[in-house]
Amino acid sequence: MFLLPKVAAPPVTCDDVRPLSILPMFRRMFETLILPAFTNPSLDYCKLHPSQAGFRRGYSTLTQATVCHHAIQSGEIQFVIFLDFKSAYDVTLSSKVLEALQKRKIPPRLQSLVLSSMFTDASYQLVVNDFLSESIPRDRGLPQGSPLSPIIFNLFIDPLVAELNRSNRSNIPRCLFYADDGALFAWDLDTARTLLRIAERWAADNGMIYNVAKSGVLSLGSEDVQLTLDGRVIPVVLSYKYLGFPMTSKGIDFLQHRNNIVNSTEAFLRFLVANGTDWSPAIRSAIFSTFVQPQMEYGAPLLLAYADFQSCQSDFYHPLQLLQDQALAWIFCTNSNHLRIFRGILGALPISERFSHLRCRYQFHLDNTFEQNPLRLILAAGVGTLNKFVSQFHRYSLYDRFKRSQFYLQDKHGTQQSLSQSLDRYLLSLRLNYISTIQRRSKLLSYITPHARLPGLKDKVFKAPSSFQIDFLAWRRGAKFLFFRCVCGDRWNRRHVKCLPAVLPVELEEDFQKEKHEIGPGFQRLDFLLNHGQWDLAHTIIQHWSKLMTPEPWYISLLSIIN
Amino acid sequence: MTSHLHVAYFNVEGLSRQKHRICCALLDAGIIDVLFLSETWFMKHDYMSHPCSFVQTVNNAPLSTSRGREGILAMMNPRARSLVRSYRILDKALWIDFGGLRVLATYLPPSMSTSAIKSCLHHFPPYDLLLGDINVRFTGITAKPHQASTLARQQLWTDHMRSRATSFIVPSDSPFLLRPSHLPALNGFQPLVTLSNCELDHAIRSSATLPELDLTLLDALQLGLKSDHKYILLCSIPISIDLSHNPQACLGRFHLEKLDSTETCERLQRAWLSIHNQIDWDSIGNVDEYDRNLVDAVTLVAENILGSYDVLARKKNPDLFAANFIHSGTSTLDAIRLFKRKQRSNNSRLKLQSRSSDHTPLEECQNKYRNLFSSWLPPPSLPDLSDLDPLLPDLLSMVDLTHIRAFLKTYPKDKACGIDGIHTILISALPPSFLLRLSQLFELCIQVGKVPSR
Repeated sequence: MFLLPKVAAPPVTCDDVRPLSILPMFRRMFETLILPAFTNPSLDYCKLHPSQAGFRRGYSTLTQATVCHHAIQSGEIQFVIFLDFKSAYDVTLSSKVLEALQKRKIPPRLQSLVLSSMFTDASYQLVVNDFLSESIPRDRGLPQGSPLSPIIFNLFIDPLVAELNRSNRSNIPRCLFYADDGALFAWDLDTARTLLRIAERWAADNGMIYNVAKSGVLSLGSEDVQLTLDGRVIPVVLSYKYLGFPMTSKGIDFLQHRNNIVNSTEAFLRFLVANGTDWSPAIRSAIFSTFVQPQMEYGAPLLLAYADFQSCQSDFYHPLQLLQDQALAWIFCTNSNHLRIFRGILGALPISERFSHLRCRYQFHLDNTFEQNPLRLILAAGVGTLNKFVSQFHRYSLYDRFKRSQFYLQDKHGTQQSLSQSLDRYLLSLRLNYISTIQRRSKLLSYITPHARLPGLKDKVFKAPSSFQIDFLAWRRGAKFLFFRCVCGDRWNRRHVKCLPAVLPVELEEDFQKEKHEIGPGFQRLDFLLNHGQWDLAHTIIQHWSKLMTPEPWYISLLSIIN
Repeated sequence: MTSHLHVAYFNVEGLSRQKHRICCALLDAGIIDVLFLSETWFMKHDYMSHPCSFVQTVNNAPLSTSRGREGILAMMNPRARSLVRSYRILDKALWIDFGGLRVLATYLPPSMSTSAIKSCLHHFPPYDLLLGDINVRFTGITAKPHQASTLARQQLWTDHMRSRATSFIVPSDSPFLLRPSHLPALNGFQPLVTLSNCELDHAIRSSATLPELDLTLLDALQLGLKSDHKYILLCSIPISIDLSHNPQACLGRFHLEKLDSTETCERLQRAWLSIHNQIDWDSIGNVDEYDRNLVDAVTLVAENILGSYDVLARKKNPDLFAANFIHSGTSTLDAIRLFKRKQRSNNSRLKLQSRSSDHTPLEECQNKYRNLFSSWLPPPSLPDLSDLDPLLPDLLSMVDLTHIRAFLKTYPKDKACGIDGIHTILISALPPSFLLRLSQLFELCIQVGKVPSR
């Protein structure tokens, strides 16, 4: 068991860590394989209340956040109470889990496997500062890191979710949960107290403890309120971070959310700039799409809906766009701002377009999620009853266009998975269109032919040997030999290629001439070689040219300062 | 039992790879247990991922400059590391509590103003031993009296020492002997060159808490450490803790990279088949026994064919993966691994600390989690299982070969393996008969409603 620090700066003590279990692979495999026995929605004992979204297909933090925002803006709600459990997974008692499973009539064999896997046959060794403890038996707590734990926790807490929502007639639920992160919605003080008593009773019956200091009450009226949980007053807050979104008395504070993601991504980029000096563009690009982009785009569909709603698109996206520009410059190992070309080479979109695609995917998700999803229920209530923000999620223009496109019509009756793939293809075609549009203004991009792109539309050059990539990309964006003098004595530009030798083998030369005829006179042998993955030959030519040409004197001095 | 903790300090003036190797060798040989290096200049090579690196000060240099300035790094061997209770990273110093022995290592550059030094000294936490390049030559101590620092600077320190009841440690005259226990190649004792006067780097002890102790000024150049600072401050401190016990984690891993070779894969498969045929699998009806046999068999095969390494020992060598990958890798998976390595080495300053000086962080964590994960209640009885369970066929079909293969295909390869070192890469390389046994283990678990105790 590894202990992950929850704080960013020392000191870290055993109170500031999250225990993460790294299970043996056999156990991980076994739990993953039998998971469907606990999640099959057609089985009664697997059915969870729709207000629970944690680790469930068809539910997400975004749908929960949208519902929470709508609930606050609806005018029906007076108080939102955010619940925080103290080490929820770690303190779960085996007897209580068994009780919950038995009440749900989960087959005894599954009950037995859960008990054995989580409690009766479990032990662990701690790793602390590279030291390993002895083996310690455990009979309490669902291990964080086990594939089965979140599912069992959902089943365990489901009676609370159901009880809180009992006899609710509004389409706004009385509570929302994402695993153990709960939000209670009350239209008056009495309801708030009733909901809290239900929560208290369930926790007391099941051996769970609330972290009252970290819970919060958002009072939407002017009323000064004192609500208690386990005999302690819950702090009244003006803003509470729920599922990563700052919730205020006006719903999600979108500006704050945008600023939060800008700040955290900026800090992350600074870390990358400082630590990734020797990483090639391919590594940088992979790290950008795996780590930076998801951080920068968290909540993108909601941010776009807000920007559309406020009609403030360009201003709103500006800081995010700057951030994306910085990241692209980092990928290309330069600080220049030829962003159109960067995007064209990477097959990336500007923020507004990218968010629009993510919004389209979100609409697909909403269209295909279960009917019981609280957001679907709210939307089903009809446009007239909804506030303007949430009513936007009825439809989305780009998604409507997809539904009118051949991509959709050809696969209209397909499975959700095949429809999702059709949507991917549709969005890819839009990205191709975008590249064709910018090609009209950046001729260099037209030399990267469609077959020279990887399936995600990125230039194939990102698959070249790492040490060649910077040179190749510099050529692609027209910056190679920028400060050099050609052998003829003039300042270098691509037209001077004719002054330099570049001999291709006969068969390649023939193909090159054919392609040049199709693409245009500016298409050069080096472009051809890069398009066809002839890395060594392309590199040899670049090396040879570098020796033939002379850099401008000021450029030599600049290089000497940098080095 | 009394043993000695050897705490040292050296102004390294740029921690190059070569100097880093020498420092690690001094720690490995046990000549030094704890080594504070100042003016590391935060060099670019990844010395923080080395298991001897414990913590360093924060690099405050602007990103645009080519290198960091200053920088104090604490390095220590496992026996010293096992004593650490807590540490603090200060602006110009590191403070570490070794089970009651509080050591402060500082570097105060000559450019610091008197008021800045005053403020720095004022904020030093209580310590038993201070080691540092304080850039002050004291009259009566230095061998170059004509270069002694201003009286004001000297007075600053005299005042500080008076207020903290501390005093200078006088370097010992006795020679420092390298013993065969340090270097097995030595036949006898080998004296090392020592110096006799402290110049800019000093050792100060708390008169109240620390008894008289040995201070040796080891000539740095004889060890290959070139710097304007000629000596390493080496204090030998008697402590009443048994240092022979070394609870370091020995996480073993197999050399999975060897599976890239088809020939090795074939050897692995042949070795598995030969062990597999020696075990009467069908006669094992107990999940624990079946699991143990399967794990032992895989471990034996992997150990013989691939060989294994200790994770921490490997970190002592240069990171070949990172070096190779930077030059040849292009896959997203490798980029992620590279990034995670970088992140881990950057997070190394977040070591766990004790809340109190009475226990090590490991002991505190053990106590906390032993309590947290124990209900102190009798275990609930497992439900009775019927052989005629209608669910049984469905469950058994979930763990058949098709599903196991699908799992192996989709499971991310960059996920860590468990403590047994068995990774999906290894499982995928084994022949179908292994997957069949694994499937049978899972079937057995389902039939008896129990997983192996591990």
